[in-house]
Amino acid sequence: MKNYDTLIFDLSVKGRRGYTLPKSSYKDVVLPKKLLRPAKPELPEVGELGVLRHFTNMSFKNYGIETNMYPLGSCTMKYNPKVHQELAALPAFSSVHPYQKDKDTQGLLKMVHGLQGFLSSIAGMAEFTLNSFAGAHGELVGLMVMKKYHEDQGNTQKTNVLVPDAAHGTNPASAILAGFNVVEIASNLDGTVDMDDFYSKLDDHTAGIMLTNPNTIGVFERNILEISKAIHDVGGLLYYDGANLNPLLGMARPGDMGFDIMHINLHKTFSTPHGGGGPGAGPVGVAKHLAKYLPAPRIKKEGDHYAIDWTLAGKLGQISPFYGNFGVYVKAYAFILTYGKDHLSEISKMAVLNANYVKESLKDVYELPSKALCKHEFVFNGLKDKSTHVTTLDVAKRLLDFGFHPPTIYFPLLYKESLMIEPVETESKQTIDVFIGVLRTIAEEALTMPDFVKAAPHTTIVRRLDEALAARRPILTYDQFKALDSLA
Amino acid sequence: MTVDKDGKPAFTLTLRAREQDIRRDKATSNICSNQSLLALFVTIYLSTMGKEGLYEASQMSLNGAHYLYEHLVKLPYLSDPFNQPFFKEFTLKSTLPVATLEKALEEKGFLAPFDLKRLGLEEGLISFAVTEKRTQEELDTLIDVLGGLS
Repeated sequence: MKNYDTLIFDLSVKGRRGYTLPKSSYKDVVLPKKLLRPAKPELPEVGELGVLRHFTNMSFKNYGIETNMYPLGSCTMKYNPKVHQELAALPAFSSVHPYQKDKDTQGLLKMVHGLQGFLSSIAGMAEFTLNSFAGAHGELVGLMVMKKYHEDQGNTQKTNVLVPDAAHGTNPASAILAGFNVVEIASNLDGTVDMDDFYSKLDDHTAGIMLTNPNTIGVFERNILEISKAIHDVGGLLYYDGANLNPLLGMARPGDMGFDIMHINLHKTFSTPHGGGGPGAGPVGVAKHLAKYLPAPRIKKEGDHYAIDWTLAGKLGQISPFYGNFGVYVKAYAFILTYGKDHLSEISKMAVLNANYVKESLKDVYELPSKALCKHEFVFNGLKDKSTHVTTLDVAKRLLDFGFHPPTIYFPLLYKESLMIEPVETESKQTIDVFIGVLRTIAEEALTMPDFVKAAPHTTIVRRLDEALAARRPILTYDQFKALDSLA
Repeated sequence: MTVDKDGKPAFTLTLRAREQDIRRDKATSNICSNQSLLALFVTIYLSTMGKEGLYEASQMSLNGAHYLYEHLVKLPYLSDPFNQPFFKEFTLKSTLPVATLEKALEEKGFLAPFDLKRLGLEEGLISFAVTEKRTQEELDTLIDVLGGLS
């Protein structure tokens, strides 16, 4: 059913439904007419089997980690054990109400408290809050902590946050939202900080710096201790974007590098499938002198009892209605316990080995600007031989014909033809070898039949899409679709 | 929706160029979290319930909440300070300590009522909610327990 093209409304028959409620003997209550909507909402009317088949057939049109490798650089699209999903779905986790009292939720609070401790220990931070809902939400909370700290210190002149031009786009966006000015610093060809540019932008107005380490080229920031000292010398703070934490697990800790504030993309590194799904979680960790600013509520341990502390005094206040995305914590907690303290580094070692293996196996046919040993990912600048004008976009589209999801393309902005590959630790050598073989074949095709590559994909359900049309005339609802004479 | 190069209908992500991964410090938002797994749950739920099923679920919640309300408001220690139309949640005022109600109900396996003092409202205000998942038998048990306190 790969060509299944039915919309759920196409299956709709008036009065049909997939579920009926048990009969009750209540009398029907009628609310005042002015409180009621004039008509029932326009929903599909389909039987249970119809619904089941519809969604199952649509799922066959998807590419997912269950179908093949997902080499999306910067995304850490690893396989996450299904058992963690099952654990998170246990009723004792999934059916608890956030208003239940501490005495009835000791198991949950113990787990959350434990996870806070695990993350602190993995990252070398004094304390973590789990309240933030996503990586970029964590960035915002972390920068709000930075701002509050400077306010308390009377540092009114500290208005600037330094952000490398190779950083994730969320970094500058979060800094602006938190009320800072963004000062962009240049990167070297390998994505590391250009130290001359860094020193030229560093001054008394510097509130802090946001860094990803390893950076978006996958290279470890070798000057991190020097940067850390320079920032601290002007009274600034270091923010660590935890998006690239995977290759550091059990090997190195942001806290030891001098970072004061950080977030972890829990969904990337710690076992929540986030492709096409989410939600994620972006816990924020801080050094000891900043712990008092972390938002409420906080989970604390008093003797053998776990309690939720809602005190707001001195803190940022509240940044989420309750405790963040709880289901993600269960999976992270289970994942960390599964590996255990002594084996967590197997993740990072294997992720780094796989990335370097792919890089070394392809550098004779794809242009490799940074020759450095990479961590979990690396970036090619398109094909080495560009004489036939086959672009990174063409390579990505051609990969689809071979059944592979393409890598991240045209990010980071450091190179013109960025092709960013992160093979992650969960792929076998056999799968990685097939992937390498396909990329070599495409490099060859780019020279022998460039027009064919430029017209790819050829075997997918749909071919290259008219994205300009979609942006020019957005069809976002079924009603808009129905009102159209023709899609093209 | 758009079309591919052969004119075939297709879905695509659009208006992305406004977002932080491209606009960076000029973006209007910084969050790029993804809620589409939850959106998928909701779509399957709404497709299963359908136009009539969803209506019935809300009618049953409405009915159950009013059934409970009618019985509780008659108890001597409970009263309705607002007397306004409501859907599936309502607020009452208790002259008995809220803890007494909570304790009695907890013994029968109910986590109720919700003490609105926790949200900063005045002492004695409590709230109940009834959805289509609660049976009439359950509500009768709850009514019996609270009836026994008066």
